[in-house]
Amino acid sequence: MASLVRGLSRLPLNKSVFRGISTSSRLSAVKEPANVDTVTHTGQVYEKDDYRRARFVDKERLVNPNFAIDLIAEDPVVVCNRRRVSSNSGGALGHPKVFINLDKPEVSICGYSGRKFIQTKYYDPAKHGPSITYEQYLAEMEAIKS
Amino acid sequence: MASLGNLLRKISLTGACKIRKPRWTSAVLAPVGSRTASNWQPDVKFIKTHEGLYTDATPEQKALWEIPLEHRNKQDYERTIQNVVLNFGPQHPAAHGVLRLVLHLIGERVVRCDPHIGLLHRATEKLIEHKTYMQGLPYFDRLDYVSMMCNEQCYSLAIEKLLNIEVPLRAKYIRVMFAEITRILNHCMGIGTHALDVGAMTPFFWLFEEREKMMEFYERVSGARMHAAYIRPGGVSQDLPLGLMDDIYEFISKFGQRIDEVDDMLTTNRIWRHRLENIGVISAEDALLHGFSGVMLRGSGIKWDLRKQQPYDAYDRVEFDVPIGTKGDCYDRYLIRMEEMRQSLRIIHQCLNDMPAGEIKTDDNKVCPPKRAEMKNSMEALIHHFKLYTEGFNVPPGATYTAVEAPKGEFGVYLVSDGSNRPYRCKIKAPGFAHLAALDHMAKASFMADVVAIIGTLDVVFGEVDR
Amino acid sequence: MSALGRIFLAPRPIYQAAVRLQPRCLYNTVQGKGDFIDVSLKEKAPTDRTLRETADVYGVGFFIAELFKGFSIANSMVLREQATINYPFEKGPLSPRFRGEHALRRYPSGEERCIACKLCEAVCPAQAITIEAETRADGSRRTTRYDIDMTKCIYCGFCQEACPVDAIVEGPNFEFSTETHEELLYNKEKLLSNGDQWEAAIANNLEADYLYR
Repeated sequence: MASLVRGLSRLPLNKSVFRGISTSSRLSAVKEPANVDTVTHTGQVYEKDDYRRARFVDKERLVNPNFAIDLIAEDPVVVCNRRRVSSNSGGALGHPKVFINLDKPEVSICGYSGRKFIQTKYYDPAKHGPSITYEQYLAEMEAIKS
Repeated sequence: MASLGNLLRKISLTGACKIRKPRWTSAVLAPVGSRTASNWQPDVKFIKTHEGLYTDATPEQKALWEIPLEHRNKQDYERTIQNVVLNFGPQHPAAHGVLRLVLHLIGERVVRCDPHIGLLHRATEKLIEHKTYMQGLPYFDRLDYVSMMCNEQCYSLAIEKLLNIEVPLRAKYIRVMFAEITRILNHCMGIGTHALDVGAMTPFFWLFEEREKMMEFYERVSGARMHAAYIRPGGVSQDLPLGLMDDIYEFISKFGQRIDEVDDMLTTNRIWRHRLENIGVISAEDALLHGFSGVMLRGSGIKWDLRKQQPYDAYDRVEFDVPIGTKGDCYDRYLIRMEEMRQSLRIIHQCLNDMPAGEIKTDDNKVCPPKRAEMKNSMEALIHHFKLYTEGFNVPPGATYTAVEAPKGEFGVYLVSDGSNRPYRCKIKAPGFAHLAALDHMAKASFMADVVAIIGTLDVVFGEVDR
Repeated sequence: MSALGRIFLAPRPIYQAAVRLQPRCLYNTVQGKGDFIDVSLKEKAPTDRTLRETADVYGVGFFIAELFKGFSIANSMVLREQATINYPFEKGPLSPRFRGEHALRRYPSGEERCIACKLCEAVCPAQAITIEAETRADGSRRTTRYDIDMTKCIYCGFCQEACPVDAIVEGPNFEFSTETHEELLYNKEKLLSNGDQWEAAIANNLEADYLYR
């Protein structure tokens, strides 16, 4: 008993020694992953004081970095002469066929696949970015189908 | 003298453990040497006042309480003599699933056996009432979970009867072929586990390897080894992939030899015959009275097979024999199951040879979803696809009882429809239920080991008994 | 219909002759005309046996011959190829239709296929799929929440059949066991990542199978 007290008095009275979970990084054993604050593509992230962050302690948080909204924005616009175009994304392995009307002067998007279409007369490379012709688009679809 | 004894005790070598005098002893137990007559001993009156529960309740209150057994005098309660009651419990390797069998025994002889079922009750019939017809299909896979496609076939036949549609010929042949593969699957399991329970462990492993091969066929055609939601109302869900029929042919050309191996192992084996002959005998009249069906009936000599009596699908176009027995014991039923496997091989061979070209589901898109390529091109097909997978098809009002010759017996579905997209009532008639109910009748006055053999020959699976 | 198939309709003697040409194991059965055949054991009474039959019965009985036959069959299995496969290193065969772990697929351009039509949620028999949808920033219709409770899922493949755009598929993976229950409640991130990881295998399976669907 007495020896214990003597031993304690010899120790440097550092506050961090007496804490369960230490604040100094050298002694920390549990932590949250680096991407716990990354917003996912659906906009999901937990606030700092949300108790549900406990599920990420000592584990990896899965955030898929391939945001579809960015990937489809990189796709070139299909420039066509006709007023109406059909989008199928490759037949039996694609999506149901839809016909898109291109009368408006802005880029029309296929509802299923996000493919961008515009008529030649309204196409402006500065505003709408890179493009491919309708024949190239059809060739792509044929390539997917086979 | 007593004080000297006390003094000696205190300074004894075992000073640490003092010999304590009990607080009170009866005069009988007092050692002769110590004169404890000067001590007070409780008398009879004192003991009587402290009998029963120690409490300061009034006698009127005490009369309301029941005294626990250990505090009673033995004369106060009757001691009864009864037979050994054994729980052939839910966790038992030979209990074929979850069967709680309460056995009343005299020595080894069974006086009474009382099956307690319901441990696998999953409220199937109730849940089906809240699901559309297509969503209810996976329930049927899971009823008799060793013969999956036969159950699906029964359900699909019931719905087709209410819908009044005819299935294309190719779909019928595919259904028959897979129903017979399912029959072989079931008998492999039934005979294998029966042999295992009786004590022959080897055929179990051989037959289960054959089951693995057949489950590979299931998987190639539907995507899942066991619970293939494959046989649908209107036909089957997808066509046979290329190469499957060749592989099935190779399998059946070799399977006969596998049956022969198990045959050589068991059929003439004196141990097997002694364990199975004249065990679980049921007369033809009793079998009919107890509501048996399938192999249990045919074991007693009754010529009854739904595939012959009320042919469904393509069973009237294939030629096969139906084995029957004479004595109605376990051995005859075992022989029948072996022969049924051989006859199933014959049926599958004919189906492979006679498989017609054609469609595999009705082209009525109000019942069957259209092909995917068509769905992506045609608006009507897309709408039908959408309606079928959300709302499902509507079945005209009516009621039907449709039964098939499942490997275990007559599996029936009593389907009541009220015109909507959900069944109003779907009652399932499981063969194992009636068979298990007659266990007491069959196992009376037999040994406990015979009970194991009888449960094996009944071929019960608790998925269908408890539903 | 093959030639052998037509023989089943031929007159009886020709049929029987043709049947004898087949592999033995296929006709190792009592071939009736479609009747009820009696398979029970027909043993002669001891008084009806010939001398040879009596000798056979007593010989087999004394020398336990049928037990030795069984032993020899069981022992012959030792010399045959074993059926066991060495699991982690050898796995059983899988077909393109195999229904395993779910995945959400994308188009070749990278866009997600799922358009939140909720057909899969409606058809799921176990109600394992939960979907919430919102218009995305660029105006297209996509899900914000797509959860599959893999512990409720019965792996029936109905969601795969219902999906009009082949977004949700059941891939060929069956080894996805986890140590906690929560990890098995998949959300959209997990399903999309599955899709990215398994896309090559899933695309191969779809190529092989789409003509049948």
